[in-house]
Amino acid sequence: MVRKLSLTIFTLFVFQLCSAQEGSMLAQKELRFGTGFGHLRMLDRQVSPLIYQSNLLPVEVGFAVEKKHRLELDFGLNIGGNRSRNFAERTVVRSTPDNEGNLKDSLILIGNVPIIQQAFNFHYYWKVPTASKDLTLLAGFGLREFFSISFSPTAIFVINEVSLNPAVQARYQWSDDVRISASLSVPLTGIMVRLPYANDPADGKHGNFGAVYSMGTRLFSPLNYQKVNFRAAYSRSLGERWRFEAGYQFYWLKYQEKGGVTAYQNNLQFTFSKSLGARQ
Amino acid sequence: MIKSISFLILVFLAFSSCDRMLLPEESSNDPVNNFELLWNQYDQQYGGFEVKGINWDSLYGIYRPMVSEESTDAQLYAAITGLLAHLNDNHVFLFPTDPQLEPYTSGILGRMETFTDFSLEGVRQNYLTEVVSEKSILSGLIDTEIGYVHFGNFNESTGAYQKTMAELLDKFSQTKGMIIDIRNNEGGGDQASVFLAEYFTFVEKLAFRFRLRNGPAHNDFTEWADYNLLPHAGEQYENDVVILTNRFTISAAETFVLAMKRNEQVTVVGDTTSGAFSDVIRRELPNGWAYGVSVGDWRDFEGTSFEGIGFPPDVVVQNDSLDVANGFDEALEEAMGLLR
Repeated sequence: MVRKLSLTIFTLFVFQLCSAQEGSMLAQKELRFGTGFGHLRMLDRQVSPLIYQSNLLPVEVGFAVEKKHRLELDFGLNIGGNRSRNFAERTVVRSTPDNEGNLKDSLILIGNVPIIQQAFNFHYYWKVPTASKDLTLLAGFGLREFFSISFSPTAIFVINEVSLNPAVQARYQWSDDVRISASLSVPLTGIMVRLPYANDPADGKHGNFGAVYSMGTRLFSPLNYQKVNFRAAYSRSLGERWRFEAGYQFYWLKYQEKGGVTAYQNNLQFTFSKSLGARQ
Repeated sequence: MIKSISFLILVFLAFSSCDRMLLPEESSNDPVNNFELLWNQYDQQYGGFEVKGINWDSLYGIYRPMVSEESTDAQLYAAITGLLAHLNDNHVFLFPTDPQLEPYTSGILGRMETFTDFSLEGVRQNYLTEVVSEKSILSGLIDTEIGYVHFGNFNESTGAYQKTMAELLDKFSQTKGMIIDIRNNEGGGDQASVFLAEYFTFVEKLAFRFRLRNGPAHNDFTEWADYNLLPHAGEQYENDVVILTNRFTISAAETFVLAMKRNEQVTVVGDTTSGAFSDVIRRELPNGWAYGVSVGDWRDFEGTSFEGIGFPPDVVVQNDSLDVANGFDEALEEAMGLLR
């Protein structure tokens, strides 16, 4: 089913590209790439009673096509360090015998550990008629895939969300060069993958990753998963084809299964985009 | 533009510390709550209550009164270790962050003061006439007839073990028998232990099975998951094998024994293994202490559990520490005798 869905999305994307080509005088296509700084806080009671926090370096690339409708494709990667909010660094001692019968102490350092997040977003919007020519309103849906993993000696955090999100976007042309935009989406349904109940990905057939997916995949609805994705940005034209954007991204999520996980994340993003067609 | 970026930065900073508004309260870090959380975690996830006949609720009644809001770390430690001792589980541990408090292991390994029934250096110096490899594992020949290999863990990938076994099968092709020494083997992954056992398997068969806790009741488990032995066609060792075990043969080393005992040419010599077959997860308390929870129920192919007991060898030989110190390894001598 995932293959069919991917093929459908890819076909829509190619169709839009081709359609844009026919009336390319009016179609706007742009490539985006950006980076910035992010901060995450989460409490995942299935894994730990402690609040964990991460400082993140986000990197994002994207592509958008807009004519009568708007299509966006984004791929993002966040990399950073993750640690308990209350304990910057802890050391615990483990004693085991070596091969000569001597008890050897090994120090286990519980401190900052890597966290990796990955996101793939596909959004499709229809334009909503407005009275003002400076205001563009868009409504549509997004398909989001979000993955986050972090290993600490005492806690393994895993979350993978694939969701269908109703979405809205507003753009206001403040002046010839300056634009302000905001977007909002919430997941309606999808699948959530977390560690299974025992926090042990073992099923006798697959490796760890495969076992997480075979044992830890659940359908969700707004009854057990709530999330808000918000983005606001200020952008300024830098000549014919280039644009600079300073943006703020925020999400808050709450998943109420198996102890539950609640998290929120802020990203400051600085993006350059290049128009591949008409002037931006 | 500067003003707009500054505004965004302010918003970012404002929302970077909104834990009270956006997150539930963190669990309270007081002695009572630390004890309660630990007791509850085992209640929800420990896989050995039924097979060991442990009444976890009654133990709460005994140890919970030992803890109050005014308890010191030492008093909390005493209550928790007293509680965990009843599990008799070498995978269950408590690692306090207070350097005054000792790391604790629940099973027999936590009560043993010495582990001097084995010396790998003694084997290398006194028994191996030719060393084949001593990088990640020690392997060699005991005269020309007996191959020897010691595995200290089963942490490597199956790809790495494939290379290791290819080398060993080549070097040991003229031997009459092989000794696989897994004394002081701290375990690793079941996939590795089964993969290695398949080099001694000629017919597909069940190695062992397991199930994991999947609910709050003590008998809430997943369906049984099977680890099956699938022979590595054309890459098998056909002659007799002796496995050496001791009390620090633990976890995946023990599932290796379960798998290998499905092969008729295998004999186990030495001391009873650790009795900690289950997978273990690491957890932490609000005070930062780390602890381990065994989350499953592992059984041999007939459905017998050796959890908390250990797998008994076919031939019991308990080395004397003085003999080992003098270079005499009685268990190894017995293994050599069986293969000659």
